[in-house]
Amino acid sequence: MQYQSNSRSYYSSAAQGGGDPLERVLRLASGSAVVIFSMSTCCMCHAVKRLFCGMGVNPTVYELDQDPRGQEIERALSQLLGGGSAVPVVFIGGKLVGAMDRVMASHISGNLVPLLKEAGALWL
Amino acid sequence: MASHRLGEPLSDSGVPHHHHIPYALPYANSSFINQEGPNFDFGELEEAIVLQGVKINNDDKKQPLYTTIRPSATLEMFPSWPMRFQQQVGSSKSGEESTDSGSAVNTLSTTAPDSPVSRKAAVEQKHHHLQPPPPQMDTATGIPAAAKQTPEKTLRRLAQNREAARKSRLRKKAYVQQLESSRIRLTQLEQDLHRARSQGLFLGGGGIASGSISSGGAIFDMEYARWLDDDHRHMSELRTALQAHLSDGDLRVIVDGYMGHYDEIFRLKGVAAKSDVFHLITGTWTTPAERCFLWMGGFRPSDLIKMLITQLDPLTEQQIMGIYGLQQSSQQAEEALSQGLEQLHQSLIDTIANSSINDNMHHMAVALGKLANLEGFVRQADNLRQQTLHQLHRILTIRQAARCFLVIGEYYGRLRALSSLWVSRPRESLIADDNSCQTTTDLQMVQSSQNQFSNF
Repeated sequence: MQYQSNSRSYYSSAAQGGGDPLERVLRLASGSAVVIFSMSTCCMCHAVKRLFCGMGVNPTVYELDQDPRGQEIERALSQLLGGGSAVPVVFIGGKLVGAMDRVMASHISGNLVPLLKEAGALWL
Repeated sequence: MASHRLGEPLSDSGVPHHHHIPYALPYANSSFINQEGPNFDFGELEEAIVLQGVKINNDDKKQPLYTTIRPSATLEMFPSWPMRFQQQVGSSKSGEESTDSGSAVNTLSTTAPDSPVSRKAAVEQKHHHLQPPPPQMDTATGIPAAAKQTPEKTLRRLAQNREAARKSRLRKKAYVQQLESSRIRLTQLEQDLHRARSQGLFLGGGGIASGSISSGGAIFDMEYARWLDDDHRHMSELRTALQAHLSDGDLRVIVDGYMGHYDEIFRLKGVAAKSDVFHLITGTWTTPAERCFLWMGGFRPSDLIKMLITQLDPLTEQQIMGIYGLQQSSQQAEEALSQGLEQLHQSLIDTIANSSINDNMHHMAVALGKLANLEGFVRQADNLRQQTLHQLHRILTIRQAARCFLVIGEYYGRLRALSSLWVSRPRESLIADDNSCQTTTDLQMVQSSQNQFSNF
């Protein structure tokens, strides 16, 4: 699991102070095969991280409570999901999968693994 | 008009009589609707009586009631009836036989407190007197009402009264219907409560005292008991459908109905999780054997798949792959949720253990916030169960799916029967072999007699 905790350096290299939060979310999401927006204190986020690690996937995790502009991102995510809790949110191959319930439904119905393979996060 | 006469005892009977009226009238009215047809109505009478009843309960003094109620009741009901009539009837109350209505009033006022039957008889008596047209009634009672008013006004008044009476009849019918349906619902609720309570007492060894269960939990228990009955019905339907070798189309309808039935319990559990998540997690709504292996407030999907793999033969190669894939993904999802819950547990322990005297309240608030996450985990676990069932439905053919649901239902039925047997087993279990044979027989008997299921 790769943690982008030192987000300041990352953000300065990207478009600094630019773009609305949603744009930044999408930009971050397309930066890796599997991107999880999380909070270090959230237990459901821990569950979703364990799910991907258990499948042998190496997701990129952004802990919003450790990000100076995390609140903006949190609001943007909440809007994207249509209300409710903003975290955890999963992007695969730059595309939004959703919150925990969507991720699990996708896994049970057998759609998650092909998505991961397509994005290059899983081999075999 | 009918309603005119009816109003008399209202104002002239003694106050204590009114206590009986709300109970008496429904009896009288239902018989009246049968006998006398729609012309007779109690509607406005009952309204006024109920009003009086309320006032009586609030205030014991008879005299003020009498004076305050009388004008409002009579004016409401009989807008055209002259006040003088009331006074005249009052004077005749002592028992004069001067008029038919007067005698009826006396009968009513004297017999009313005794029984609804006598009241009904008295009112019946009244009704018979109403057949003659108003001018004759007036003459009979000696009221010179006709002389005081023009025929047009009288006719208009009568029309108004007819209209009011008709409206009252309709209102009365609606009210009675409402009462009936409420009565049915009440008995149903009582049955459910009794069943839920007896189930809880029987299986939990007196675990659920009526006072210790939350309202959300009690409501869920009742709904779950009803859901189990529905499940029994769905099972029978499926069984007969399979034995009758229905077409796939017909079978699909039944299986889809069963899927909807499962969706319903998950919806109910979602509601219950909001109001009392601990009730779901501790599993007091299930039987002991189910409760022992409970996972996050319900069954463990991978366990169900494991059980089904052996029972669902024959399967195609692709189906076998699908089922094993489902087993693996459900196991991974369960593992992830369990680890998330474990982290919640650890975090909660830390919060509570580290609360000092100074900022105890703050720590408690934090701990409360963490506890609130429990609902999310139970919701996700139920979501997992629901998705697993839907995926089974997708993998299997319609006939296989029907058999699959039947197997699931029977499995949990046996699990619940096992719980019942366990609770009622003889405590002195000195001889193992003999008892085990006995329980097998009991199991078969119990299974056939009570086919309850579901561990959802």
